Amino acid sequence: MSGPMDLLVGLLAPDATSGAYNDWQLVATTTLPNWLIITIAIVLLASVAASAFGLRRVTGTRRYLLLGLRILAAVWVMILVLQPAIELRAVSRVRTRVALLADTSRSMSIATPDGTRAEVVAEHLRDNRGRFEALAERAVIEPMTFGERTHPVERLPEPLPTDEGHTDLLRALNEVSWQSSGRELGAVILYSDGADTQGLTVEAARRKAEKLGAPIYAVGFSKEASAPDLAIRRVVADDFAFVHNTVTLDVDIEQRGLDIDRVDVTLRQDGTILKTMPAKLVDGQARVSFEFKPRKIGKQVYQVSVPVQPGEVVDANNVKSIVLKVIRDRIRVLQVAGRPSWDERFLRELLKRNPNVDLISFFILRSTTDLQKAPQEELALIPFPVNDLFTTELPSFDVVIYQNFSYRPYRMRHYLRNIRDYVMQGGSFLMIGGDFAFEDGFYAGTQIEDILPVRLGGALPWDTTEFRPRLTREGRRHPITRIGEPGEPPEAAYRRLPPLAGFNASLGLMPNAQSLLAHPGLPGNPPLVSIREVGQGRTMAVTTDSMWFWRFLAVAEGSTGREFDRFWSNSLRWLIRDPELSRVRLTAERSVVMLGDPVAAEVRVLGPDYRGLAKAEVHAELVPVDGAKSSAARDVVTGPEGIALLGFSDVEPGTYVIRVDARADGERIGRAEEPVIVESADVELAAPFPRPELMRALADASGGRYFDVSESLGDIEIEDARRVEVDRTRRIPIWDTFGALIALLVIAGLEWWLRRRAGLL
Amino acid sequence: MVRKLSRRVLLGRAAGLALGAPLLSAAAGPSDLRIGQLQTSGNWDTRPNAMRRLLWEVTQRTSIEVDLEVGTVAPSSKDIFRYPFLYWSGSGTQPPFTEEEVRLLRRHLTYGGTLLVDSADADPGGAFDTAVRRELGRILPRATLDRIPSDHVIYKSFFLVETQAGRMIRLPYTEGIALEDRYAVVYSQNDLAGAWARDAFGRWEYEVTPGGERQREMAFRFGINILMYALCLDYKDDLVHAPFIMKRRQ
Repeated sequence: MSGPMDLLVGLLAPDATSGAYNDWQLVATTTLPNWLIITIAIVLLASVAASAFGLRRVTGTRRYLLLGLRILAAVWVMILVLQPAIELRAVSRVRTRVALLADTSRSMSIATPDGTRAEVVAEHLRDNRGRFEALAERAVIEPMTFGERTHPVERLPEPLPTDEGHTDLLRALNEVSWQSSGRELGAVILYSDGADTQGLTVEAARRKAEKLGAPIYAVGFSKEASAPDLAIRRVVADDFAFVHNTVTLDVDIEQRGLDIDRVDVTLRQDGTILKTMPAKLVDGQARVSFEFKPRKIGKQVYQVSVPVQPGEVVDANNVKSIVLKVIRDRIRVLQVAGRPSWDERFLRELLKRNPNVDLISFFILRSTTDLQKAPQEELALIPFPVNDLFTTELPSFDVVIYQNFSYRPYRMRHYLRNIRDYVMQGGSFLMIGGDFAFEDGFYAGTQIEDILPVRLGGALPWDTTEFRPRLTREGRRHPITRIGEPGEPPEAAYRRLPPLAGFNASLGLMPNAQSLLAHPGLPGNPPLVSIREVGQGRTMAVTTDSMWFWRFLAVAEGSTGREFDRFWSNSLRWLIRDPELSRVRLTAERSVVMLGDPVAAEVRVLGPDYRGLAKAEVHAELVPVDGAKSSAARDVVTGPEGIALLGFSDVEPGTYVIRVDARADGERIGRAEEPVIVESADVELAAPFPRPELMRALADASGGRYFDVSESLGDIEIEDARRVEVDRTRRIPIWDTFGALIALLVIAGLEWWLRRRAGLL
Repeated sequence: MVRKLSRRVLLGRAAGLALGAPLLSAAAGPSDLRIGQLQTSGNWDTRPNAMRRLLWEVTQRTSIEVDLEVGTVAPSSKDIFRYPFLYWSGSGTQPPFTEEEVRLLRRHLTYGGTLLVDSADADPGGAFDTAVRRELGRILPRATLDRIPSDHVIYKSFFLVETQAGRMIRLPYTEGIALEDRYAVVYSQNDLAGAWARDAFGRWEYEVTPGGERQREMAFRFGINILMYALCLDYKDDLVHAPFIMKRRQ
């Protein structure tokens, strides 16, 4: 621009020194108000229009000539009104800023062969001082440290600190683009190992860099320069899982600096190994997917680990625990009936009607003594799949029901052990009476008797006389036997129901069993409905096959069978440990607690009517699991709503179970527990590997360049600033010259002459 | 006539003799299959031994425990609730049920009971058929008597039944009234009981036409299936049975 600009300055301001002005613009210098200028413009337009109307009788070229002169005159008048001038300007552009970002997170303290990463960065800054000084002449360098957020500093401290608990690259770039000192961002120079702790992906980094509007010059560390370490980078699972349904747990493993290409990854639950899988490390990385079926509902802690290798810089990242909330999809019930009967039919009908129940039924429709008058192909019978049901499929059921079923004809004795083990490991088993059940089913002395709530071994126990069952002391408070209408005394429903008939007498209760309903007419009041907690599971015995009387016979007297429905629904819920049936409920404030934060939970204790129970005594314990170190106990009392708050502070990292026992008036109400993980909080060291691919993506997508920290910093190209500063101006009017007056006179004279010639004057 | 001598039978009889067992007959367990035959004011006992014969076949061929004594119960009595399975056999015109009888039968069927209606006349459109349709319309006015589809579980609840036969085959199908997903009423116009009936000397009481003894066997099978359906509902529709049944029907 210098050539034409010099010519213009020489023409308009010959007294100005050469190069004094480097820009010009046309400006209006009038002092008239805008409304007047607009009015004059409208009047001029109207006069041109009137002139065009007046010239309608003039023909040929003369008409257009006259109209053109009139327009020219109007324009000229407008120029006189606006008083234009040429403004000569001396301008200079605002210097852009260059953000110099240095990662000061804890991962920068990890050693490399040349010192810690922070020390290597400091060395690189020193080595490239000349380049930074040159850059400072073109731009304003704004140094900042960053980790969880950015911190502008006068100059980068030396040595660089390494105390930030997180690395958030995205946030750092966002803050760099927002922070403005009136200068545009010309470039970013980013020193980091790229070990972002917020889950930044290469794609997300690329998207951010594309929108930044300034090139990023990223200086990073190669993976080869990493200190030796093997780490579980992350464990990915859904927030919740369905019990008995397959869950996939993806485990990302990474190693650097170690001479291994295979490693065994182990999945544990409650210290028990569920599965070990080999991982083949390709380019130092591997993903292992564990598939398993949770067997219990509630929050479960799963721990993934890889063995610690010799020479590793960080051991803590070889183990990672997660809490998985396991919920129930549908209640899987296996109903095995020794023969078709009304008791079986009404229970099946109830279970099938319940949309939350997935019912698998097996009924013995023909016994070995029945005649076979039809060939097999004309029968709809199928073999009883004993082996599948009681081996592979057994753990998939929430409840197994033996309804008037004897194992003997089916040579099932050796499967009874499986059922006992299934219960001990958390399953539920219900035996319903009849002449094939309990003593008559030959269960005395078997593994089934070990888990039943009743003791067997009597003689001729089947009794067919009618009786009306009586609620026991436990039964009056237990949710299973609350089958009446709301507000009704517990006994009332049993008084109006028809009497039962058919009873499997027993020798009484097993240890830890409770009788809820008893036969009042037999010696010792043997239990009709009894329950028991066995191992981690629950069992129940209903020693009659006439419960269907409550569903159908009761209808004769005006009932709708609700009592029958409630009884079995309550039983099912108790067997599967429905949390809604528990009177002690525990909720941890957070399942994963960071080191230093308190482990907090809320306990809610309910009375028999399921309303909050005040003044209940709660004993709470923090129990370490898998080698955790802390343990503590608290005693609290519930408030008016039955709620008490728990808090444990100064808890060491590890996995724990909060366990609470509630009592009221000297009686035990129940127990609840919930797992909690206290994390070491140092996510920086969980996966401390350099991520040059992330740094390279940021550089490439922004139009910058990636440098390894072992290389010198190359040329830094800075975006030109769009903003300018004006140092001085000079205005040269172009309207009040002699030439302008002559031009106006020439236009007016020419028009007068033409109009006269045309005879218009 | 002979019931299998099980421990339950022995004990039940002993208990019945000793205590009178007012709710149950002496031989029956509380959950055994007991059938109540409706004693209407029309001609209701046209085939006196037939149901007993069917029950005897049930004991012989299946694991169902039955009470061989078919109870006789008036539709006006609350005793109908002692029998989840009711049997209404008859011929000729039938007087209308009283309002109380209609109310009790409706309650019985709605809350889980099953009613087998068997026309001894085997005369579709005849007097018995007209009366049955009229009374069922009063008992279950919101439901309709429809053909039971040929793929319904009632035809595979124990035997794989292809032919719906009785003493005659007047209709190649059976009708029923479904309440929700269960047939509460099963209505045959082929005189099922005529095919089942046997006299005291063990001779069949009626000829079976046109299929002869094979047709009689089919009538027994269908009768057993109806009882099995009442006790097991749609058990044979459970997925686990499907591949076996499909294979046998091919």
